[in-house]
Amino acid sequence: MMERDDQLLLAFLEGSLPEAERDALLDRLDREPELSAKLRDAARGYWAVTDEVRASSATGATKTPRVDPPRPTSLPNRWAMVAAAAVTLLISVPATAWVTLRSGTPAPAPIEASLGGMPAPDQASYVVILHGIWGDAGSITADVASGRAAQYWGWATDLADRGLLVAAGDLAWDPVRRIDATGGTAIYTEAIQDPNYVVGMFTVRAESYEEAVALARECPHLRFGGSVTVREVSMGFVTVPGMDDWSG
Amino acid sequence: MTEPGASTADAIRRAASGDAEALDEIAAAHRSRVLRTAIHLTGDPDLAEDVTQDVFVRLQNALLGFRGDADLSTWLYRVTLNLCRDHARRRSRRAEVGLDQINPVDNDTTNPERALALDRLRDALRQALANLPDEQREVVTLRFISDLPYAEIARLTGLPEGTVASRVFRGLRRLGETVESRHLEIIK
Repeated sequence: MMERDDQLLLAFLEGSLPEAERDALLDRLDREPELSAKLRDAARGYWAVTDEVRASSATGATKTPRVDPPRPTSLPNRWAMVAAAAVTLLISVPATAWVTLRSGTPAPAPIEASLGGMPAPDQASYVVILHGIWGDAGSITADVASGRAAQYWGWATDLADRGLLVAAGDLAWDPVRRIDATGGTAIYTEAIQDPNYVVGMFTVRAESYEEAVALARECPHLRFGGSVTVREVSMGFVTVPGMDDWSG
Repeated sequence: MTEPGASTADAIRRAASGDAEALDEIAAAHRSRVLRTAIHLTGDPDLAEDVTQDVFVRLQNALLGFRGDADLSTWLYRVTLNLCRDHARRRSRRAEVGLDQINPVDNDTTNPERALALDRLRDALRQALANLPDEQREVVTLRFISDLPYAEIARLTGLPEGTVASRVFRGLRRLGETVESRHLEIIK
């Protein structure tokens, strides 16, 4: 019952509740002050969030733009996880938002050998690095973004089906700091418009560098104005903190 | 819930052609619904009256586009939601920067006081979002930052759509409570 009320109030707030249900809800709101207070609190939150997203879009999110949707907590299987990685990485690209989505700074995960992901002795692993946000990121609709994300999903799941995907991960957008060699000065850069800006990483297994490049050529990122770099992992595979292991 | 008679297409047509009596009829039929919506959304009867007045001022200019009462009702509902948001926003910023600092242009950052106020509001919101429980932050983010429909979020998270909506709503409530308390702190 409570969940149903939440849904009704949310639909009311988002302007999507049909007229008959709207009137019925208004009657209840008149009678139930607690329900009315819930609506009011949610309205403040809704307006604050949507105002902020709108303001960020309008200004091009020049101030600390960051989109980093958290990984879904209850994914049904690893294919959904692949999807989540692709979607959170790539759906987020056009949404020029500002929000720091993680609560505080998570403790860095230890770098550890990923035994399950270790390539066979005759098979090297390669990191496929995705650069650059979509060329038309500021102008596409959510549906278009969703359609594109599905293409990344298809690409990643196909690699996984073929036993070639070791890891997939999205990268937080900021802070972007490059440490120079003259004393460790941290330089903050707002590099999102930089075509070399790294937006994601996948690790794949391949027989050779050329084969890894061939896999990378199929990456949908290339169709949307991004570029891809392929690098061989020279000393066996280690999991990268924040990336998921797809080998299991 | 019974409104005092539904507006008819005829009344809309007459009002659109300048018949003030017809406009009064429409207003009488819908005013209560608009006012109640505004009261429940803002919690402020005076503000709700202002919103209601604005809604019907705008209605005069919009009448030509309506085909019937259903259109009108939906329009009133959406405009009420939007105006509640606008009024609440103005009230909030007015309280933060002082009446004399208000610039009518939204998001104007050329006024340092206003820019500071906006920054403070943003900081409060960021903090509130960061402090949401993971399960709420996740769906609020996917819904409003990534702009995904509920069905897509349900598919991604493996949750029923109703549960997603419920979590979003609870996240918004919590954000609203935090932002409001922060706002109250600032204006004290």
